[in-house]
Amino acid sequence: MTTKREAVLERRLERAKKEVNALESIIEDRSRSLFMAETELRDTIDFLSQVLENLETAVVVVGLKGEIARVNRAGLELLGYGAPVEAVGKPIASHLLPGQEEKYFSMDGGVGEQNEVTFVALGGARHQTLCRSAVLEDDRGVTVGYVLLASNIDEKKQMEIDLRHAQKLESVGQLAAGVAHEINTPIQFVGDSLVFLNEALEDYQELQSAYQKVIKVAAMEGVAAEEIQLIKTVAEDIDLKFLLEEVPLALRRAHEGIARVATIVRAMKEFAHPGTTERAPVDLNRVIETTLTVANSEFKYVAELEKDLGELPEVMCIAGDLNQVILNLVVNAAHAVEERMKSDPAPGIIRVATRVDGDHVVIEVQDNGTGVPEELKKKVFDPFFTTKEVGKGTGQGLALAHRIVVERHGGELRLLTPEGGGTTFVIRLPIAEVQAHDAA
Amino acid sequence: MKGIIFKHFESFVVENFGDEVFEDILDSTEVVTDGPFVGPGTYPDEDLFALVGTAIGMLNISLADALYAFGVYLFDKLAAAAPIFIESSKDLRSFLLTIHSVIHVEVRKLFPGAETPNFSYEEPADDQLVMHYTSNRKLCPLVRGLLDGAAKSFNEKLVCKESACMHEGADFCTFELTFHGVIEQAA
Repeated sequence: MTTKREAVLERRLERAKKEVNALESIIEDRSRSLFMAETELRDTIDFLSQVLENLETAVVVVGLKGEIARVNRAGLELLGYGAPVEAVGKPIASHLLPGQEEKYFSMDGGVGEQNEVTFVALGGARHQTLCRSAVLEDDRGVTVGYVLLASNIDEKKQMEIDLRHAQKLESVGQLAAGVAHEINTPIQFVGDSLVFLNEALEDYQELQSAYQKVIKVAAMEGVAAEEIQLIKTVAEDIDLKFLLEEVPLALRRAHEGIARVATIVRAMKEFAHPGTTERAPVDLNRVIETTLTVANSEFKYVAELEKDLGELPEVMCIAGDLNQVILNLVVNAAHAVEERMKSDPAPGIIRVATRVDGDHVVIEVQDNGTGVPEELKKKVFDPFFTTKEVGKGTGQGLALAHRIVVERHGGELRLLTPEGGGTTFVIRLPIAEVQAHDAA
Repeated sequence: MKGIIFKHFESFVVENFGDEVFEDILDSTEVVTDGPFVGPGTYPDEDLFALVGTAIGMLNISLADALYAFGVYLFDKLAAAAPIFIESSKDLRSFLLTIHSVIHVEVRKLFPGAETPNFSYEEPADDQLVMHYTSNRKLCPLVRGLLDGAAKSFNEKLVCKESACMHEGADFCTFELTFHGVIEQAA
């Protein structure tokens, strides 16, 4: 017979069993939910990681002490690291210009605002960015760090510089073309007048010979002795013999001079308006001749020009661009020679040569100037890099030349250091495309 | 109401009055829930109120006294289950300040669907704290018991005055607390 106590215990045992079953069921449900949640979470993490890694915007998470905590692929590129492990723990301040950290990333500063910030990558390359920072908080609202979102605007900035440069060149070009046009007409009639004067002088010289014969006969005949004496006196006074020898020479020199002016004016017009801004078959030797004519005043007082222009096929390029490249290299060479001559009076030489090398056209601009120290060789094509004194160089010339040759024309621009000192810039442009163009 | 409260109510009755009394209470109460109460489950508030109602009738004690005593008991059990909340607070006052912003947040993470009461605070002085309690369950005697249980756990002397009560028409119950520091142990 069951006692009340046994009945109570039995009921409690029975309920305990049911509780165990209920708990098992709950555990099973929770395990399933947990598994589903974990799967979803992993998928979400994978998705977000992929998005983060493929963002073109650099995402850099910075801890409260300013140390890099996380960084995405674009961030690694911006800061110059190869892998996240290299970047983590490094101070973000080491990638900013002095004062920028306090200015843009402190709570009192520009958190939340968008600013143009320059990041300095490992190795020193500087990148312009549009950067916004935000505070990172934990689930209790406590600040645990900052996230920097930086979009690289180097290309945009470069395009702005190029545009300004192009606009400046365009206005200078328009001005030069206008001046050239205005000069052209008087040059034309000065030249024509000189030709006319020369012909007239030749005619006069014939008349003068006839006069001499008459004077000679009259003298022999004893006619008009006084008049003949007067003619001889005037001829001696005006040094007629000298005039008859020198005037033709003076006219020839004037004619040569005006022809030279005409050549320069023509070159200026061609330089200012090289034709299309699209690629077209171009005679590079002609481009070089034009540019050397225009740039003559830049180098003629410091260096002798040596030209060795080989026979070249036409090359598909933008003539105006190549004008600019040659001009920049020649002006650079002139400046280097001028600088060197301050300490070494040896005569300056700028040598411009062209040749065909396989399927490339090669243009060399060589000078015997100061040369480029080994440690600066890597930087000469960087925008804004210059060793020239303030006001003389903008640091844009070689950078622009590099972009034109390499990016716009698929060529190469290299800097060599000749044994005898100085610098040689070598341009290599592919000629394959022009053949395709001709065939078309 | 979370099942863990039902389970602690059961152990409270069993420990104080014996398992036969609890079985009698269970037998004499009509509950909505079909099946046992388990900690992680969620059950109708009415079931607990019905069980408590039966208990006070059987044991001949007032509802307020029963809830108060259960509150004191419950605090010990909850503290034992999650000692970190006690250990990470330097004193009773700072502990009480974490109930709403930390402990109840964690409870809701652990038990999705848990309906935790709402607490807001006023801090008139360093040794004073005013807690405003709002809950549809209106279990202010239980809150008083929990407060005293907490004071016991921190070994502090606490004076608690309920200056407003939802049962008397107030929008919330107000507990004016004064802290008198750690209780010196008798030599």
